[in-house]
Amino acid sequence: MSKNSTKTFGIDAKTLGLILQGIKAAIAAAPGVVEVVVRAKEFIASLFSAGVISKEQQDRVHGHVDEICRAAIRGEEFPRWVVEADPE
Amino acid sequence: MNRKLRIANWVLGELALCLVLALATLTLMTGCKATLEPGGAYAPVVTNLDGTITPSARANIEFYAVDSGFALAVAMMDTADTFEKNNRLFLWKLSPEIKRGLDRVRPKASEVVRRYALARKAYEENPVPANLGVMQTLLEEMKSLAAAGAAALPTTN
Repeated sequence: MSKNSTKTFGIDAKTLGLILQGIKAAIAAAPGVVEVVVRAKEFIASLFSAGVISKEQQDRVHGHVDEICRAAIRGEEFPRWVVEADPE
Repeated sequence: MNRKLRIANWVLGELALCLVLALATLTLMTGCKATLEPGGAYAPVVTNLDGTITPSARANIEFYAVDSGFALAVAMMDTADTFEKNNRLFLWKLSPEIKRGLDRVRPKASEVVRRYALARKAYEENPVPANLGVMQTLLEEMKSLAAAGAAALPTTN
C-alpha cells in the first residue's frame, strides 16, 4: 500500500469502494430475497397447518404459474436466465 | 482473507443461505395436512340453480402442492440469476466462476420451465396421476437446478 494513498477511517479508497459495492449488491438483492422468503413462509404455512388454503391463495399461485407457463410455451425466457457474454 | 473479500463473502453467503433454506422447505412436501377452500383454482365449484354450491371436481391438493413448489423453485432460481446480473462486474472481480456456474444452469432451467408448462397443460386436459407424476419429476429437476444456482454463489467462510 502506498504511503500517499488517501484513507477514510483507516481504509484506503480502493477497499472502501469495494465495500460500498458490496453494500449496494446486498441492497439490490434484498427485494428478491424477501420475495423468496415470503413465498417459502406461505408455502410452509399452507402445507403444514391443519387449516384451509384460501381461495385467494389458490388463485394467486395458479395465476402466477399460469403466467410462467404461458410465457414458456410462447418461447419467452426469463430475461435474467439468458446467457450473456462474459465481462471484459 | 482481506477485509473486502470477507465483506463480499458475508453478503453473498447470506443470500445463498436464504436460497438454501427456501429450497429445504420444498423437501417437506410429504407432510401436507392442509385442505383447500372450495371455490379456489384447485378446488372448483359450480353454483346450482337453487343457489347451492357443489364441487365440480375433487379438491386437488397434490396439484396445488406441485404448482406451489414449482413457483418457489423458479423464484429461487430467478433471485440468484437476478442478483448475479445486477452485480455482474462486482461479482466477476470476486470470481468469474460465479457467472460461469450460473451460466451452466440457466439454459437447463429454461428448458425445465418449458417442459413443465407442457406437462401442466397435459395434466389440465387430462388430470390423471401419470400426468401429475411428470410434473412432480420436473419439480424435482427444478429444485436441483435452483440448488445449483444457489451453490454457484460464494458461501461465508
